[in-house]
Amino acid sequence: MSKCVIDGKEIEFEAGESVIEAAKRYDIEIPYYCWHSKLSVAANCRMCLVEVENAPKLLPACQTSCQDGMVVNTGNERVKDAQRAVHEFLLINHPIDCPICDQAGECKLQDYYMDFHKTPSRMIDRKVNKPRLEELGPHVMYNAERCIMCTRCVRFMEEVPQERQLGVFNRGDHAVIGTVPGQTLDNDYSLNTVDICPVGALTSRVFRFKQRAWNLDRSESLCGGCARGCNTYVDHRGNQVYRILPRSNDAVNECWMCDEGRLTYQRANENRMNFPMLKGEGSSINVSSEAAVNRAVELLGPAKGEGVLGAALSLHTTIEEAYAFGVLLKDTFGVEKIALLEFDAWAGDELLKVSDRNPNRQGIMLAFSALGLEVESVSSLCSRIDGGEVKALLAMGHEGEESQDLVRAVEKVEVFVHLGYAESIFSEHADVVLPIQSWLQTNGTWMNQFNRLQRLRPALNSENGTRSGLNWFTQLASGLDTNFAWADLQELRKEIEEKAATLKGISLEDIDQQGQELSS
Amino acid sequence: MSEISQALPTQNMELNIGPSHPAMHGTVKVSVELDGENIVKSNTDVGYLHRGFEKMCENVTWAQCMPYTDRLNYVSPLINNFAFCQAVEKLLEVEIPERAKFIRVIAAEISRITDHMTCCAAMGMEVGGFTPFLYMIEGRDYLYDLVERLSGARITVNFARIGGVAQDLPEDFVSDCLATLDKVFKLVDDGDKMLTRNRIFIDRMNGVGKISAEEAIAYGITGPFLRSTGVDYDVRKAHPYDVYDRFDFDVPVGDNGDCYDRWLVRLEEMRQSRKILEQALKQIPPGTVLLDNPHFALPAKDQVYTRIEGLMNHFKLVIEGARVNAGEVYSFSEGGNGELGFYIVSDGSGQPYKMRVRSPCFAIMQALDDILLPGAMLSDVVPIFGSINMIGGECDR
Repeated sequence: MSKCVIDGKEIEFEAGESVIEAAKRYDIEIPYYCWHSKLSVAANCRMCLVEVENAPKLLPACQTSCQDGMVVNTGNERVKDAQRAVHEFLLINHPIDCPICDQAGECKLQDYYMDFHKTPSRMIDRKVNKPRLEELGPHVMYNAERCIMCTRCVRFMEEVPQERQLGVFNRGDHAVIGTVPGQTLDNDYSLNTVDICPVGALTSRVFRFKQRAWNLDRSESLCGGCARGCNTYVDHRGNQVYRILPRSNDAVNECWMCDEGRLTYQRANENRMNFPMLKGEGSSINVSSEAAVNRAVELLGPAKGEGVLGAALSLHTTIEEAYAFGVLLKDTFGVEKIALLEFDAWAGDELLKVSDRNPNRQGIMLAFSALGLEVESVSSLCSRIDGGEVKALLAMGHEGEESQDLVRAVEKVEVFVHLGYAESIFSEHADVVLPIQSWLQTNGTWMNQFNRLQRLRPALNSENGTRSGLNWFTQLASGLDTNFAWADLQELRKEIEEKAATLKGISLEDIDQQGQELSS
Repeated sequence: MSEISQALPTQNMELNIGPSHPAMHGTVKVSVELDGENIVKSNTDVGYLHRGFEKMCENVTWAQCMPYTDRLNYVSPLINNFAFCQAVEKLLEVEIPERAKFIRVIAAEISRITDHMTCCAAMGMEVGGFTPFLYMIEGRDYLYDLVERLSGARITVNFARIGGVAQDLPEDFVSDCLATLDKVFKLVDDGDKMLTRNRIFIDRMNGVGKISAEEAIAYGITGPFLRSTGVDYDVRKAHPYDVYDRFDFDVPVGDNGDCYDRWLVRLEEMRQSRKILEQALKQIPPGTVLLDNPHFALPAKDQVYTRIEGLMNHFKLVIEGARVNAGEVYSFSEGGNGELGFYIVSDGSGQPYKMRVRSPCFAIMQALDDILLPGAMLSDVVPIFGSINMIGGECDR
């Protein structure tokens, strides 16, 4: 392998690797704005200038590839001078916006000012005024004054979704980013431009002015928008989610995410049910969890072993809870078929979106096949309810609630016990509602369409009245006198590992942040 | 023997003084076991004013610790401010401007007088003399007026800044300060005349709450309490900081280590503080009062409101805090009650990683149960405790 020297450190590199990448691997910080590991090199911000021995001028580290025996200096006075000067230029026309800017707190300009600039302003002329409130598309707002013209967004649109909706217009300090005439920035991946914008020029229209970045807590989670299972960061405060951002995982979503996936957080925030409910006169009434479980046991008791219970399960459920659900239904009620509550398919694309909008279909199939359970269609369940064969219904989740068949079925069925996290047509008709956690609060695993097992950790706290599905099943089982005892998730998981051959030897702790691909 | 002439069966009595008792300054409990009026054993409970100062500091920026330090020894908050800043500046390896050092000395000595005045005023009152208390507290209020002019607040001053002080001396401060000192020391002299040669006061103070120099050192006692035993340890002389080495002043010491000596030492220290103040006010040089260093000092307001560089600098310092060099430091100065030390560990971020305060009166409180109270009389509890000048905020942190 060839070697070069950066800041006195001997560094091995692969042919074609740029100085900035090689330095990054060795934790040598070179500041940059326009460079992005997944995009082409533009070398227009000039922030990454470094000194290369025998080169007459400073060279941009992002565009200079390492050569054998090359000696690079990233922090001497000459380089520091250049960094200071470049940064001063970048700030010349920058507005006095930090207090009203969404990027404040996660802004590269602020970070680098403290790290590499730190001198007072020398600007005496008026700043150039530019448009400050341009709607580039349905999700993205553009402020030209804050823009440093790094063109990351333009390159992203060209290279990743490969739809040329953005371009640079005008020259010099009049240059702005704009949409190509006749187009708006309405690509499904438009919000990625906001992520990669190093400054506050591009902001998300749903997130704008909702929260300050430094007030948000960040947790790791998964996207429930489709069966790819993009890795995400959940930014939340006071148990409300304010935005979902992509988390890097080269095996799943690189560092990108689709706009629809980002908006799924609204489902986790809105119309949450935080107390168990019983159907009352006219409206539902909140009750304690004991009262709710007792009522559910009373209603479901007669269906024990009779085969008159229908079951439906959301495809958002984790493998572990689906397994527990299956065990409860099979052992106690003799159920053999379970219907799946799912979102209808949408048009996938070549980048990230897959047509199946349900995040854990593979995983649930795995759990059911381990139990020898069959899957039935919603319409078959409905016709069995219509025919009077099924008199009681236990459903977890409410995905696909808009299906007319289902609405009719839940109205008609005699006994309906529902586990859900948000108000729906189901909770309206249910005799007993047991509130569960949303997928952002659940602990367990999902398996995406490509057989990658991924860990779902609680990103948010659970509200007072809500319980995990497993907790409710355990309470129901003890009321129904069935043997259903796992001390905790780990124990349940161990049983699944024994039953499902493909999961053999993969405990929860084994699944790292990148997930684990299973040999189908 | 007839029943009448037999000794009555007696048993020791347990008595709780405090935690909420008019004679206990702050909230502290002393339970004493009494044989008649004599104290056999005592058990002191501190911690009623524990607010987790040290832990709170780990969750805020360096600058946000400053108002917390006001609430340590709240009779002389400026000294705590400066002691904390001194520790952070030691980590940052910076030297503050000359004028700022003088302002710190001036403010600290004013605070030392308020601190000693409070204690002396209370010492008279502990043994029934209410008049001297009123005289001294009146003097203290004049000094608080000065502090208010200086910082904008009488107690919650938040006056120091990393790299200097918040603002320069107000207009005419020097002449005001000298005039106020004249007024204050007239009241101090009155208090002195009323008590020092007072028969009742001497009887109640002399030989009460005695501690030897060896014992005091063993217990880590510092300040006027230690000096009353004859040890002349004063941080201002032993390890001069700011510009203390430029002033001519004496460190008064006692020889008995009892309450009366502590009264005399504090009285004389106030006069020495006045001496320092008069020199400092005369010598104070012109110049800036805060280092102009964007690494930790906030930029001027005109820069913040009209320049993006200033705004970003301000933003980063306020939201993320000044990044203080990683490392650990112990820095100490002479507080009202003795050596006030800050032990700080920094991980290089905008917040302290660990903070520990060596509060002077906590060390003295340890000696209360072991040496000071046993053998004393019940009526001595309050004078002895008063002479410690235990400040809940500082002791309990």
